[in-house]
Amino acid sequence: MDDTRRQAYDRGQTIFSPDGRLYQVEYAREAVERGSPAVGVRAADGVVLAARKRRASPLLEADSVAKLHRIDDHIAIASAGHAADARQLVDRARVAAQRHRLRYGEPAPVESVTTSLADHIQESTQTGGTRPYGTALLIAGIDQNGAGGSTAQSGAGSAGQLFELDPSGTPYGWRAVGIGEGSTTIRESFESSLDPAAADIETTVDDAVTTALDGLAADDDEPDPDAYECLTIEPGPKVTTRSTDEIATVLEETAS
Amino acid sequence: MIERSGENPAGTAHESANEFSTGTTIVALGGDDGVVLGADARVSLGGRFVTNRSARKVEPIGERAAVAFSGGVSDAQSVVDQLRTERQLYKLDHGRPMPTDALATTAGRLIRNGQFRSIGLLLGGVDESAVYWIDGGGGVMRDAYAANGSGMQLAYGALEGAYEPARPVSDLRPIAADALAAAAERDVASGDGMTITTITGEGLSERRTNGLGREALAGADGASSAPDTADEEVA
Repeated sequence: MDDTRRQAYDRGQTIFSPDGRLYQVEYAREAVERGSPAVGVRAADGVVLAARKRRASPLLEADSVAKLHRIDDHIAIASAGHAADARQLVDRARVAAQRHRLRYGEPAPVESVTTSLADHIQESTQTGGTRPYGTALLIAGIDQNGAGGSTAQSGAGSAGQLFELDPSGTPYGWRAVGIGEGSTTIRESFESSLDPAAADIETTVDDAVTTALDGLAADDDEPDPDAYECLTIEPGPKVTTRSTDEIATVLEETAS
Repeated sequence: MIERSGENPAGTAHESANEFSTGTTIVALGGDDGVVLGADARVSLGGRFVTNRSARKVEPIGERAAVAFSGGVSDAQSVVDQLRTERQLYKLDHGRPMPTDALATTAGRLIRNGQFRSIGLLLGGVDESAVYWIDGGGGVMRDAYAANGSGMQLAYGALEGAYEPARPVSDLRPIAADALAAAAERDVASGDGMTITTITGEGLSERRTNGLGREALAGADGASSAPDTADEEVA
């Protein structure tokens, strides 16, 4: 398609192109692809999130760049793409999790926080005067016994739940996934290190941490542990942030 | 704690009886290593019929604070739920636990702005050696110790002579239990048992009894919960 025809469909994300595409949503995916990456891996006894931060300058305080966000005692989110857009979604997720607690007196199932965010993101692709979110999210967590029993993920012998949300507002469930820069390489790394044929997930959270950091490092020539973040969510719920030292140890083992 | 009597429209005799009287006796005492909150276990309908004899009227708000309540059951449950929500959102937004004074301010605002009419709270947390008295209009007052509910005059009388500042919580627990026993002795809407909740740097522990006074407390097993691991900061 030539540039002049295409421009008309660029103007609003609420306008389809003749071949049925929403260019603004695709450009938003492009924004995600340019963001520093984040990964999620499910284990038998929990779920892992990890991310790599980009430091524009050594003077920039690394702690002020947030890629992993707590949502509730049992849920966390990793983001890639526009950080400012991600913050809005994170805030929304926190309120959604608390609203579920207030309304039903139980922790929110991970899937219901995901779908409530998905509903909101989708709205931004269909409402006049808005632009889509330039961010993708990985929503990870632990469901209370019995909750989330209808999801496909609860059947696979894993306590952890892991969903991806892209700028179109479509939720996907994953066993292991990467978003952001180099996500294709990262996903290939997961596809080769995990056995998709295995019906049940048997890996431990510690194994999953290695898999996650491995995947992130697959697209990183000189992994710098200070640029990596990692957290695990286990039944309890127990959320643990892995220290830079622990991350460095795993990265060294991977490199050798 | 007074149970609302069903579906009476506002302004009926039952409604006004509920509106102007609060059952329950609750106490809160600040010590040098933490705070103690206590409540009796009786729920009654207008102070005339006992509808529950083992109510828990001290509720943890996370692992670092707790609130004791008197007044309508529905108001109390709702305010406790909303305080927990506010605490969690504060912690996530600010990356640190919600301080007790902020929690007290929030509780006052919820009552002032909300639909709650008959409620009285006492609030205490680990980061202060004082407690907060929150009235039905949303007023917040900080004090070394406090009592609230229909038995408050009796409890205050007992606390006045026994309370001393800068004492460890282990000394304050029997004083709280005795104040509740003194109130239950003469207040029709208080009695049946106790909940005594202690919050220190070690965490939050709760003791529940079927009797009242320090002897009943001595026989009760303490159920304690681990410190809140979720308070750990994340970037």
